[in-house]
Amino acid sequence: MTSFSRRTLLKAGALSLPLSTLLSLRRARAAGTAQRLIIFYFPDGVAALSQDGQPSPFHAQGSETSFTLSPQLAPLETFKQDCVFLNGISLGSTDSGSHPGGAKKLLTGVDGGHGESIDQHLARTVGAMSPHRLVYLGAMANQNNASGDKHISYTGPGQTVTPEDNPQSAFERLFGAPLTGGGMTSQNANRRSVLDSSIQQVLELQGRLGTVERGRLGLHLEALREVEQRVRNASMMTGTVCNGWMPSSSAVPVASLYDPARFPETLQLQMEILVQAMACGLTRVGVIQASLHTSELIMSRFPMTEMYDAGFDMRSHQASHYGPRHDETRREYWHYLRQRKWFMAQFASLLQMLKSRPEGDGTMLDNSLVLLCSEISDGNTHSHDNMPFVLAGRGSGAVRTGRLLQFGYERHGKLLASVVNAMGRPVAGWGDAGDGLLPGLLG
Amino acid sequence: MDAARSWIPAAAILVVMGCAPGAGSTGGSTSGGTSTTSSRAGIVRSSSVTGSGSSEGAASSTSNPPTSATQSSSSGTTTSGSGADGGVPLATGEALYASLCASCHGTTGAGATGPTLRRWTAGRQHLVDVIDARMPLGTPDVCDTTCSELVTDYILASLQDPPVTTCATPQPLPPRALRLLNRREYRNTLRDLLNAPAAACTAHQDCNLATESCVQGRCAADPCGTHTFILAQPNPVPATVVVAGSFNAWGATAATGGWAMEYVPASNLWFTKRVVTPETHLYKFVADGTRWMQDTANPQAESDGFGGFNSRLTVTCTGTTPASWDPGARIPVETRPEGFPYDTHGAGVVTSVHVEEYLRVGEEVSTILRPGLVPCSPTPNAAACARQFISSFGSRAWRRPLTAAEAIMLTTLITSAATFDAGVSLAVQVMLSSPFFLYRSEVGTEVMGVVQLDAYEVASALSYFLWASMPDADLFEAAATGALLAPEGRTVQAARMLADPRARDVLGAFALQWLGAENVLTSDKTPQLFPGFTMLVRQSLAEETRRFMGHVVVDQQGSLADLLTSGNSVVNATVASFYGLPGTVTDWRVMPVGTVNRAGILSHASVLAASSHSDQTSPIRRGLLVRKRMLCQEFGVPPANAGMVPEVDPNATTRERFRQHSQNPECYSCHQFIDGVGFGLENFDAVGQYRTHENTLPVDTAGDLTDVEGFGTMTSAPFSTVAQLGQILASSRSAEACFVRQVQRFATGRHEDDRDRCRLEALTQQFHDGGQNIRALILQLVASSAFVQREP
Repeated sequence: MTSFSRRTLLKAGALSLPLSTLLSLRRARAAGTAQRLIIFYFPDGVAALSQDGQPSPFHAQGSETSFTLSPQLAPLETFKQDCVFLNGISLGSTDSGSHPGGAKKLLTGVDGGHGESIDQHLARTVGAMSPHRLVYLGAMANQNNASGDKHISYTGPGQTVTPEDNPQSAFERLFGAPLTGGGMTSQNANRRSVLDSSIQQVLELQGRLGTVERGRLGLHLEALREVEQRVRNASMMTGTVCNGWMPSSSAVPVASLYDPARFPETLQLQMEILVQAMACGLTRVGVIQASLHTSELIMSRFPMTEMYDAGFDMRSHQASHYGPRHDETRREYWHYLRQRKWFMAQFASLLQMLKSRPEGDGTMLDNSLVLLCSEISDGNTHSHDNMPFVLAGRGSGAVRTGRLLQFGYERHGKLLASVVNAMGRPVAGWGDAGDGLLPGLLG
Repeated sequence: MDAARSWIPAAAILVVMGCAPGAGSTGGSTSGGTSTTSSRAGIVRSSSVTGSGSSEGAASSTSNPPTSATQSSSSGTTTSGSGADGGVPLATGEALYASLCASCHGTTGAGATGPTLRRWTAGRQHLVDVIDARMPLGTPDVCDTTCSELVTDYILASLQDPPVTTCATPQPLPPRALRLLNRREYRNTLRDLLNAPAAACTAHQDCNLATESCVQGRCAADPCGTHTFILAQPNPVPATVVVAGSFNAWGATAATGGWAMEYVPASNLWFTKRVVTPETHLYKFVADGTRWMQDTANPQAESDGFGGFNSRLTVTCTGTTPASWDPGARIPVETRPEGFPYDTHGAGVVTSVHVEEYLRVGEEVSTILRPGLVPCSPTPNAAACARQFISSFGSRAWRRPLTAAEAIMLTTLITSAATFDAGVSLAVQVMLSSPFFLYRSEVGTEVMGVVQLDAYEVASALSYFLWASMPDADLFEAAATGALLAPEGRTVQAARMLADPRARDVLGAFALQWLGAENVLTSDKTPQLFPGFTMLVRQSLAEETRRFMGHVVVDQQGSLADLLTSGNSVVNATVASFYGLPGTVTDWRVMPVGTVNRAGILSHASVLAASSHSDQTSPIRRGLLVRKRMLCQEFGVPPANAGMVPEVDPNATTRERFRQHSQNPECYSCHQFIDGVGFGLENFDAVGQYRTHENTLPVDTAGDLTDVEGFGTMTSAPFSTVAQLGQILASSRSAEACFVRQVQRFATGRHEDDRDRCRLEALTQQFHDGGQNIRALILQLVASSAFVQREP
């Protein structure tokens, strides 16, 4: 058992909601602007429209305010009134199709990932005053040295960033050790000197280089300034809200971080850490990436689940290719349904974490937006139509929840644009879908 | 014509002659994203055109396929009428193209789901043959020889791009690249920056006794599993001390199995270094065979049942060669689209996570600085000592002499701090967070439209290429004298560097990344099926591949052919046992592996296990490995419903279970090039062990490396052993060209593009003419002007 330890070297930022966050919270509720956004990604889609044409058994059915959830969505039953279920949303065409094409376009809205993803955009804008602009955590999302199109956060065209797969590292980076003043202040002063120096040197180097490299150094500068701000504000923080918080279970040892049997607890830890970081005002933008596309994650090793099978390995991607029809007598399909339901249960668990924390007149969930997404809809056909999007949380009044919105065909760029708007950035559209918000979602 | 052999995969048709467009390796991206199914519908519709088209022209219509009549459904395109009425032959070719080819290859032949046809340089007859035998997709009978000739003439007359420029001087130069140190380079650089050359020693006690041993006259870190027991001289002073514990049956004296300890007068302590298995042990020290003592320096203890305490030691060896300090461990993984960590242009982006880690490491470093690194005392003259330190440490940290301004800035940090030590600490942190430390500089000087890298930049280019680390003293010296600016100056250094162990580390990394074999360390394997596939085995297999690469390139000064066909490998006891090699092997040594059916790097279990699933082999992944990493051949997007791995059926072999691929034309189009390769490796199971049977069924390893020189060449190269596969590849020009590209990717940290085309051709020709000598290739890369020049 590895207990979470606090590193004494690095101190994190806010320990209580900083004044800026309190103010923005008040502002947000007045204007219907969400306080925070969490994107929850799971891989390899859902059982949807089959190759033989059977309708999607995933998507909710009914009218806008009176609808039923499918067995795959069943774990969200208790959160029905907190969610907006979205049918008929498409990614449009993608450059390389299938899983990579979907993953690249998912948060960028642009073919080939040639654009900034909404989480990065929000991090730079409404998230920029937080100690951490963006918290991007993964559960086995770097498996086997994965990179590139396996990751969904794009800091710029064609440039992905890597999620943090180790809950211990995430915990240390976010919560560090409490400030006690005195000697700690001189360490922060040192840090600020170092950061200032680095900024000067990066600027100097930029002056000598061509456009492409200048752009990369620009990102380096951005990173330096973010950390500098964090350090600068850290010395002004007091309070005990985040002081002494520990996750509910122990850290997963590094050697087991990629053991599929530990995946459930790793994912759980990451969600907990993110929610706590948000509760403490450390960030407003978070992305949780569970695994990665074409996942080799052996979900039949998850202990105490329906899928558990000691004698047979069933991987996520393997199950997703269940054949041309929905046939529960087929092993792949049987597992696939239960796997997807399991991911929905994790999403529900995330919503529960938010809902159980009071905030203002309600709960954290009331002031949040939580977006469920995957890079394809039906895993077998790799379709990018009728994607499995669900938006949870009222976003401080930005979104009316408890609804099923059914579109014939709407591009997901509009959904992304709506989410960005709901967070307080008035963009006209997002990605190559052109201008427009998703009709009926906001307000 | 085999109706099933039809589809030339979307993306690169690698043409046999002339300058092959490097664009093939950018992969099978399809513009417009039309699905395969829709394009097939177009073909079926247009088959009715063929009949009328071929009735017109010169050739007889003997081969009107009987199926065409039944296949025609809708009216399809408008050409059926005009073609038959004696239109100009080219118009007929155009019409045929429009109805049979355009839906996949684009209306202008630029490519869509099918590859571009605008750069056909394999000759007219060959194009006729390819179309005749294979096109259109799924139904090649629809276009007979006459039709093929008409379409060919149209393509060659109307759809060709202007000829590709020949390779003349001056050739385009590579772009300037700001290369971020990757995690390996970062770790190594800090190691070399902070550790002076490993201290000379004559005995273990000359080194850091607790963690190092004296190996061949130099202090080296003890490997995991080697534990040092230390006991401060007890009172009363004993004559002998042993370690007695659960690992040696509690022998209280050396005679009864206890581990004798050695006394070190200079430190007044007893010690012994022993290999301890990775588990939990209990022990005590025994003085003079009778006095049992707890190791009070060890906080782990448990009751011994006699009122005292046994000391407890738990050894866990995880991960690769353990370094007690791995500063790169928390830096995010690099982007590796093709196995190698690219570090420039789209990759190598610094995020706030990186910045924090750099800060943190800087702080750690400043607390563990060896006294020897500050070469002077702050008294009596702190300023002078500060200057001296900055000058020596700074120029090494930033890998170049500091400017006067920089030196002043850094020195002032020291002199204006509260204490000298605090100042040194801050200065070190500043230096290690600096872009001058974190990036490899390629600023250079622009001279007549060409950027010349300066000597220190060249030194870094050399050291990071061959050592994944900062330059050593010799390289800095060669930079200072300007020797590195001349090609001979560089090759002399490179030859020296290749002989250093650090080069073997880099060569090993190349091999593991190139073939994806490093995933042997992390790839899931079903424990019930492969209980013996422990971390120790995985690490040993990875090490085999690392050492083999060094052995071939440095020890043997060998060739690509040696790499692919060698009858030897480098094994230790674990690998030997895993492979079933006869005899006793203790430490790493070269051994013949032909007796266990292996030859060349493709037979390494690391490669084979990394390209398998947890519970079964993957002929697809192995086939793709050969196509992509050995031949640089790319495929288009798989259709929907691809990706299904058949259940492990005890009643069928893997080959049988993938039969769908050869029966379904939609699958076969690509899989004809993939499966045949993978099936030939079915003698090796999911962890890379040799098998003749899969469950109870005999394994059939008939394989075929078709079209080895490029899709469309229509060649067949059957094989049934990995040795034969290696031989086919070893004599393949495509494999040579691809290997050169792989080395270039590794060396430059980016994917090659059009600017590299001519240089790569020249290098490949040299490589071929030089007998595929890998060491020579490396030296040629280093000597080339492209190594020291950049585009402004």
